[in-house]
Amino acid sequence: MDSSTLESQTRPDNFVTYESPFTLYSMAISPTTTTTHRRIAVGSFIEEYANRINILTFNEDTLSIKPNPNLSFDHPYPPTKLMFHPNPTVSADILASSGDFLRLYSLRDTSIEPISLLNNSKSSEFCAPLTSFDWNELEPRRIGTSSIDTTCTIWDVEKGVVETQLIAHDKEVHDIAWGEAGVFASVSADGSVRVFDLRDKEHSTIIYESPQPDTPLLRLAWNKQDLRYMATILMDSNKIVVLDIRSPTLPVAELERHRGSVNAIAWAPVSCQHICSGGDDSQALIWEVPNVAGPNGIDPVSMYMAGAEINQVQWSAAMPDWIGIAFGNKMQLLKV
Amino acid sequence: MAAKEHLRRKLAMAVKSINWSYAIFWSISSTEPGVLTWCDGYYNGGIKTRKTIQADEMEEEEEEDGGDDDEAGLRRTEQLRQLYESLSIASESHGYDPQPRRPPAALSPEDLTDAEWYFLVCMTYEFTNGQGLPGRTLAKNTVSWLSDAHLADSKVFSRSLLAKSASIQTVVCFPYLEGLVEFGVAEKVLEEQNIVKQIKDLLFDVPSQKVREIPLESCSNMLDHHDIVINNLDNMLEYDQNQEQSWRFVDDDDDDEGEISFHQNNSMGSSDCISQNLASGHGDVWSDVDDRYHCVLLRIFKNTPRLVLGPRFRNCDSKESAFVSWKNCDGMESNGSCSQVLLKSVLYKVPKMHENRLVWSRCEDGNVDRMMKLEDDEVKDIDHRFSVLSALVPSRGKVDKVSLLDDTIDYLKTLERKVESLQSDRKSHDVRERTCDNYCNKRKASCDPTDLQEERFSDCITVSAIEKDVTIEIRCRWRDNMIVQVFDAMSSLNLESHSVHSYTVDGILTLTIESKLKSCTGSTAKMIRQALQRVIGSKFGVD
Repeated sequence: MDSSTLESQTRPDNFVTYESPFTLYSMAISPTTTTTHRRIAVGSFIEEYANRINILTFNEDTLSIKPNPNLSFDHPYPPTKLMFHPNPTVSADILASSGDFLRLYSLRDTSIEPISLLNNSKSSEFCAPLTSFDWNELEPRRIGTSSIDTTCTIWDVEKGVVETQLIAHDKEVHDIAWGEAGVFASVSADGSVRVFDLRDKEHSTIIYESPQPDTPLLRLAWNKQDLRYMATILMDSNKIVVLDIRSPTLPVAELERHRGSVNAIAWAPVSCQHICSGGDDSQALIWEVPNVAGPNGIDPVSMYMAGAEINQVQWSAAMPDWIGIAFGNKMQLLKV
Repeated sequence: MAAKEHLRRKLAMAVKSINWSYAIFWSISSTEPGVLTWCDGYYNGGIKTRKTIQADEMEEEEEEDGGDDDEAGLRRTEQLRQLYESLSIASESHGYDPQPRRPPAALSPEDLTDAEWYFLVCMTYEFTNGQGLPGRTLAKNTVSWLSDAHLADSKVFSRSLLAKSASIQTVVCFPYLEGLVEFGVAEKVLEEQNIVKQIKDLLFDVPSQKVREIPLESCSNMLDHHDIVINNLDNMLEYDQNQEQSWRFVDDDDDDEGEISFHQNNSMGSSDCISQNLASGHGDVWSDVDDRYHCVLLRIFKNTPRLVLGPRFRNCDSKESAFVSWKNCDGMESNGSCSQVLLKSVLYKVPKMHENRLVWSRCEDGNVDRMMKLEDDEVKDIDHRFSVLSALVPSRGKVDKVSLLDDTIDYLKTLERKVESLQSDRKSHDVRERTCDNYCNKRKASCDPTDLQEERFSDCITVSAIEKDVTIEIRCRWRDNMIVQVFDAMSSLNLESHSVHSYTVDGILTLTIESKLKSCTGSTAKMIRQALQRVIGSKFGVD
């Protein structure tokens, strides 16, 4: 199962493909870099217990992606999200995954060590499955997880303890995103986007509700370059809803040029107006959210056509010139 | 400044006369025609005991009360105003310091009551003509009385959430000078013209209010209106009529411009524009936010480093990029029924996989409380089958699944044993019957041994032949080598057997052979039977 991974194809100039033996879903780009090598973690999607996380090395000079058989490990069921420690000063890469628990792994050059397995249930050795999580960039000891049990849990991962657990929604919470050290937002199957401030845990503010009641919101992305904006996607919808947190309820823009449902969104790491999306129509689109929406809606700036439904989009500050996408069993890095 | 001071005193007087919580004067912006912004106000609600810089001074003043009550109130309002300004400036600084150093303000946010927060956050609002309660009041030029402000739809009263948090229930607005005044109270007060008249009298009866700080002279309409106001101070009715005309004029004139400026304000706007608004102390078009949310926003805007994407990004046609300029070309068409397959699996199926595993682990523990909570269809199906099973299996009283499975295993074992014993009972019964027959036969045999043999073996050998397929059934007393002899006899008759079943119970052999005739040797069923009879019969005799 390990060495799985031997195929990586290099193509001329502007994109690189890695082919995995299994369908890929989760993906994360490491903020640390050793010369020109960069680590990318990919998680398999197999509808069985045994799943796999592989650590790949991307070489920007040779435009090649190589698997590291030593840095490949099992994960129980598919990881719902992967993310690296956002603070590059940490000596070893730390990777987090969500699924049955929040798990942290330490990535060394040739080995992987589990650091912790965080379970928020005091009463039992099981906790409700996690749909996603977000690592707080300003306060890297904080990770927020979202769960199907309607709660969000804020972890102090350095101490390995729950900082707080909030009943965030009426239904499953699907995604969570930090805006500030103590402010986060979440989306849910109840169709709402809510903003929370850890200074006042009793209250949350609904800043958006899906137009058809109970249309679940699936993913959420907070624009780290301009915190006024966040974007969310709806179930079975080709729309990307862009929200301005100062004027709740009414989205500032609805981006609807995908010809199929949208699966993933990622804000540009070095621009405050650009967002990339991937959909069932196999397209990755880059949008520039305009100051004023025209009457005919907003057209994307540029597009890329992949070979199959795009399930994942990553646009990392560590590698702002490359957008990572996952479709089928392939992971591609696209030059922006 | 004196004019402003005067306005504030007037507002104070009016709001105190009816003992409401606050008064606000919304003025038409001099820079953005048609937009109403916070100009001044007076806070008359409850305050918290203060513990900040000026605590001592303040306490003295509070003790004095009486005549200086006005001063204390005005001071408080001014402090709120200062706090707002300091927060606005704080929101401008882009540091990562979680506790930014605010310019010294007498108050800090922690000192504020909910109603004060409401009052303070109101300063961040602005309304275009027709927007929100103030905008509409101005557009219609009437008195608006809202007695359920905290429950109102946000379209009717955009600050309803905010009002709820501050328990403000009743809000009254009417046009006043170049703008309008708003009064609010934390009680439900039904509309009453006396109250409106009382405030209006207080506000309009003093002529000096015409001196206003807001410079609106640039707009001739405003000047006209101003004049009208001054000329008609004594006659409220006439004032209203004139003002209505005047405002209608203003409205018409402002409509186009107003629309434009509204859109610009409401749309994304550049970041700079927003910051300017905050810095200028008039906030942005915030609607439907509560005071806490306002804090959240301030906190968020503290750090928004703004960068721009390099030029390379914009030239997406350049060969370096994997992306090409967007054109409306065909992608894979969406297939409604199976959209977002993987994403949905990740969000819905994967958690269920974990839960299912959890269910089984729990079963092993014998702890099944949690199962009631699971909504998984599969688990439900399984549960349903378990309930069917529990109806079939006699249980020992315990109701959990583990016990049920144990019961089922026990029950099956019991049933198996019963089947076995019944079968063997039945066989021995059969044999007993046969033995009975044998005894009869034997008794007969004692009279006529040859008859006995004939009868017995003709009964026990059946041969049926359909073309070349021959089925032989033999039942006889078992002895060594008998089967071998049967097969010898068969091969001498050119019969090739292809399936043999045999069993022996209580010394009686039952043999079923299916065979084929190898060639047309003319062996008939009768010949075969006779041959086999000889094999069995000869030996029988010997026995």
